[in-house]
Amino acid sequence: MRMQTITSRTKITFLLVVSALILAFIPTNEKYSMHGNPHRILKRALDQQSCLSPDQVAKAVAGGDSTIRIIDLRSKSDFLKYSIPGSINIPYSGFLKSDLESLLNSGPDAVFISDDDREANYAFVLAQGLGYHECRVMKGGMNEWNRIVMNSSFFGERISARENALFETRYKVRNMVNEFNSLPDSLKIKYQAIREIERKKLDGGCE
Amino acid sequence: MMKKMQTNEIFPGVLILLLGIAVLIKLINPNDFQPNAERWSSASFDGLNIIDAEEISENRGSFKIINLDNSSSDLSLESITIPASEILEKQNLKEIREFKGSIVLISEDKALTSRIWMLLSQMGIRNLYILE
Amino acid sequence: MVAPLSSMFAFPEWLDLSIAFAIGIGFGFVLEQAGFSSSRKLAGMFYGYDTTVLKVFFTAAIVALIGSQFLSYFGLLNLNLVFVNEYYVTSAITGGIIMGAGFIMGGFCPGTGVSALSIGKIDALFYVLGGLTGAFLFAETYPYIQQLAEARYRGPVKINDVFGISSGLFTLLLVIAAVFMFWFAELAEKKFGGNSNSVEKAA
Repeated sequence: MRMQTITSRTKITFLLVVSALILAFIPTNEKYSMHGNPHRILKRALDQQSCLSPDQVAKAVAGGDSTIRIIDLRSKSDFLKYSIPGSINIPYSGFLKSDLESLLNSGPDAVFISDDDREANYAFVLAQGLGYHECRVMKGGMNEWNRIVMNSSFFGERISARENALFETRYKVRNMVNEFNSLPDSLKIKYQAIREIERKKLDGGCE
Repeated sequence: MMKKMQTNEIFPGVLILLLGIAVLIKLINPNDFQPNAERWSSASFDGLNIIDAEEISENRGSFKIINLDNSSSDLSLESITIPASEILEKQNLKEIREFKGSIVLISEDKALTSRIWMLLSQMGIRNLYILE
Repeated sequence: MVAPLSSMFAFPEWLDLSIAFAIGIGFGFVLEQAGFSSSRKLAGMFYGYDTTVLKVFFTAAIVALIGSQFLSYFGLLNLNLVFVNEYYVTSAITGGIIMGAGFIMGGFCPGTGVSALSIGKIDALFYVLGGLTGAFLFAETYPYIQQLAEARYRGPVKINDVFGISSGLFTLLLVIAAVFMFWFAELAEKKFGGNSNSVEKAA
């Protein structure tokens, strides 16, 4: 009896069709799914270096530090009422619908802020799990920012050099923030739109 | 030659079988991240994952409280301590998954509870709450 | 470790370029061994007597698609970090028409043109020179055609997102479509295959 050999073409077709069939029925990673080793993500979640104090963020804002990008996860209305100059507003509810690649993987380290610690830290873990490791959280959120940077005063007879530098930075940022937030909403929106365009510009290419 | 022909013919089948086994192992592995991050984090969008002490007191039996950092709780209710660094140990995850009711995470550090909540939720653990 | 590796490690420039060089060697080797340095073989796609181009390129695309899907599923490749080309509708259509016309007239596409040049084909030399001239002219006249080039921008869209289906289902549909296309292509080869002899005689 002659054995009919299966041609290479048939074998490859079989391989590809069955592989595609498997893919069609398994829950593949859609737009955003966390991946990697959960133990590694846990290790990053427990890393204290992933949190910045409000003073550290204030120092970066005062110095115009371009190595960090503040991402404000509060609602748009809260953001327009009061925000840190230079921050980008991505409401937490729309975080996973936004273009995370251009937001979190294009240069500056992201610093998440929210009202308190919750949403910023949710976003932190999500970002880590999605492969965006260069991100941190401002500890305490805007509540802590207001308490420490915006409303704190020095009480005492003598001030050390370190405390002096600290309060100088706080006063400087306070003025910047108050000045920025005294602008009408339309100007703030325009300012943010311009920053968005600058942020999205590709490096190199035709332009 | 017959043997060589047969090997060549069954090679695609073997490859598919290996692929199928690898897919099956991943599908039934409970300690991995679930696809679609948005679905598993949806409770955090509206604060539905936050629970207060009153609700726990009313239905004590259906809650298991996990203390992530040995913090003192005002609840004066029983809680088990699982340090955050050990939350993914096999035994601990098994205990969390097998509990029929709801799990409540507590800690002095709000950031820690938020992070652990998100991590466990993305691994497919439902009925997980953070104490307000 | 999750690919793409360049997103995890800051590769030095020499390593990046070396990887690109190695990939280029592989690509050129495969093109040449598939016979794509022959302009007759390439033009045959449009005349119907030789559909090797369709079969090889489409199979390569499907294998890459299935492979990357499985790598993503097993957590070895983060597809969110893989670059997806920005889609400009007008540019895509205009460029496609120009490229299609150039392909059938010249008998090469840019990649196969370089491949043919590397084995000493003179027509490929002029084709590649023409291509480089065209690219240079595009860059120089870009301010005048920028509006056209950037018209109808859709962003980095994926077909399965547009149709609202999963990537796995899209892969299956594409593979089935490919099988039918290859079968259809072979019918065309049987019908037009005789013409290849007259084309060779004319040449």
